[in-house]
Amino acid sequence: MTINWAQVLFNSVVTGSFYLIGAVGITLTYGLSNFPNFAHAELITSGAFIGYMVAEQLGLGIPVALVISFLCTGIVGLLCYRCIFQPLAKKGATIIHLMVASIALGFILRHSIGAVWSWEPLYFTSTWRAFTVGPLRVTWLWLGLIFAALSLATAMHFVLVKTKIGKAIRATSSNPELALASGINIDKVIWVTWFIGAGLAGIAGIFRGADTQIWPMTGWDAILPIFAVAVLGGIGNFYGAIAAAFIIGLAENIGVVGLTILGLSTTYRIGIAFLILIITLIVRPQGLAMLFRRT
Amino acid sequence: MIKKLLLVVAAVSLLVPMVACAPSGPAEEETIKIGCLLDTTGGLGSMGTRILNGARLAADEINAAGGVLGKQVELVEEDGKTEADAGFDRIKKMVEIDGVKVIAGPMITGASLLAIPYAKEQQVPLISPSATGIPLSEKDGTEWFFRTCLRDDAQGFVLADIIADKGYTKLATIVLNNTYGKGLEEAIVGRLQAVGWQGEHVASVHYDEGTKEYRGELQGIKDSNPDVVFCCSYCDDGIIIFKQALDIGLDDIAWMGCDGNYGSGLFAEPSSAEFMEKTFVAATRTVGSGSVNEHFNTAYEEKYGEAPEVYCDTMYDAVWAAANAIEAAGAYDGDAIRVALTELNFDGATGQITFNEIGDRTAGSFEIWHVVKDDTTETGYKNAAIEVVDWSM
Repeated sequence: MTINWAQVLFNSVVTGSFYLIGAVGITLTYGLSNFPNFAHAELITSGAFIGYMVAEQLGLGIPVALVISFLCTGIVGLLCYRCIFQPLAKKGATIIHLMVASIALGFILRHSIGAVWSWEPLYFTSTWRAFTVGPLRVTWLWLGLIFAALSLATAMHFVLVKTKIGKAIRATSSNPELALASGINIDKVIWVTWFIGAGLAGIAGIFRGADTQIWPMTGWDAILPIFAVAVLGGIGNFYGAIAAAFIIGLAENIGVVGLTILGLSTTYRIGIAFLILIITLIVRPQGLAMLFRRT
Repeated sequence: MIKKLLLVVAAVSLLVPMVACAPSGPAEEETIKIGCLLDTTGGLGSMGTRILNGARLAADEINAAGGVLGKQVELVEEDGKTEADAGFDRIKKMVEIDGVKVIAGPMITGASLLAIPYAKEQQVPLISPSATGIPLSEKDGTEWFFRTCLRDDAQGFVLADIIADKGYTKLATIVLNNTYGKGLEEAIVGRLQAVGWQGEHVASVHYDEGTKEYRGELQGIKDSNPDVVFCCSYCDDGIIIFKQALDIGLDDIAWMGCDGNYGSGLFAEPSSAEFMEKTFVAATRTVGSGSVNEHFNTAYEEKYGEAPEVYCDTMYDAVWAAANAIEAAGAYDGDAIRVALTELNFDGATGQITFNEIGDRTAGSFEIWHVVKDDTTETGYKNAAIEVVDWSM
């Protein structure tokens, strides 16, 4: 069997793009609020369902769905923080309390979505014609996903480096007390971050839903590699997350090729993300962050 | 004083359910109980709910015809939740609390694996409508486990013969990573070797139902350059596989499928339906034939307002097999029912029902189907029969 490596590489970029858009929220909110938000999975799911409602039930198409889903999921994420995590943190909840609360919140959201829309999978009816470019097979959906990830990376870079709010996010993430002392409104910075992170989760949800299916577990199905990306990239480190997303995407896609050649089940592909995660935690718990220290 | 009183009340309230649950002696039984373990919730919930209709239809007909041993039949319905442990737990409940001596079920192979040794120990025969796994026949106590469905290897034989007949020489397989998928793949490959097939098995993918993303797997299949792909999936994962296979460009070769890919559910997504219509040259599923089959289809549709789906007929036959065996045994006794089941021979909705000494069907028929366009359906596509082939041991 001759492996089409160009396609494997391209598929890795598609996988990595989804992981990146999904992981930005986790890594930034973890960096600012100091706990892993497991309900992020349900923000991805919410985004997919909101997108489905707008694109299919209201018939407004995917581009409009992406915008509305970003805004609505962003608001949901912000409300989650404002109404649950912030009050808990103010009452002295530790990382464990907040993490457990996020798992519980995820559970409630997941089953509420299931109760409203049912557990039967839904599908976007828009289809994307695949076409061939040289050795590659591509669809507009995949190109759209890669484009979204690239624009996100560019926009976030610009925001973090050039704008006031971006500098405030970085300042708050590295030293909240000092940021407060410098006159930065920490609360506002955290709210904006939660809104953007959750909104991006919503966008990731639409892409995932269009590529596979939409059901109450859509986000949960993908949350483990997304967490692996956040940890590998270094918590709170956006640039690390970009590198990590593509490393995990590549590892998974090459892993599937390897597993198939070895005659093993591709069930183990998720194990590859985990293996990278565990090795990172043992060897380099700070993730790739050190490589991007300058930022 | 109040504390003591509360303690007494608490103690009494604990006793009440125990009394209520105590097995009632056989002397008080006014009905003949047939256990009915189906997964009406969980992964196979919607399928299980329909299959339950098949069981109820059989029970109603048995009672209308005068019941069994002069008594009315009562279905003891329990939900196995599509989980092996939960199903096994319900079986224990039926045997130990309800005093059931024969059970139609379980639906899934996992629960059956747990239940077979227990069935032997308690002397309660099980009749599964849908557990097709081959390893069940190798389990200690398998003589207590009957099935009205056909084993995976029977379907594998039929599929292998089609591959050989059509002259394909490069087979790729993408199957569920469980006993169903792997058993079917093994049966096909084994049969192809046995009949002296000159082709090559170029790729074998065992995928995880939960991954929901199979681009890498499908790319591997494409790179191995097969001329036919056999897919064994369930509904939701099948949709994603077919949709992504269309994206990857696997739509210019022949595909084959099995009973797991059958049903209108797979047409819920337009790309998946289009792909199946374009590529599926032949797929299999068990079917019945004859007058009882026609009667079953009409009666089911009349009663429930929809056509019976997969395994409704085998469940109908399982309940009838239980009733016929009790009648033949002349007593409501587990071992006598088991012996009667091995000697049974009657016309069911899935054809003539006979079991061998380890409880497997000795003959049956398969429908070879494909997918065609049909504007009268909601999705614009439907399954259509190509032919029916008979299989026997």
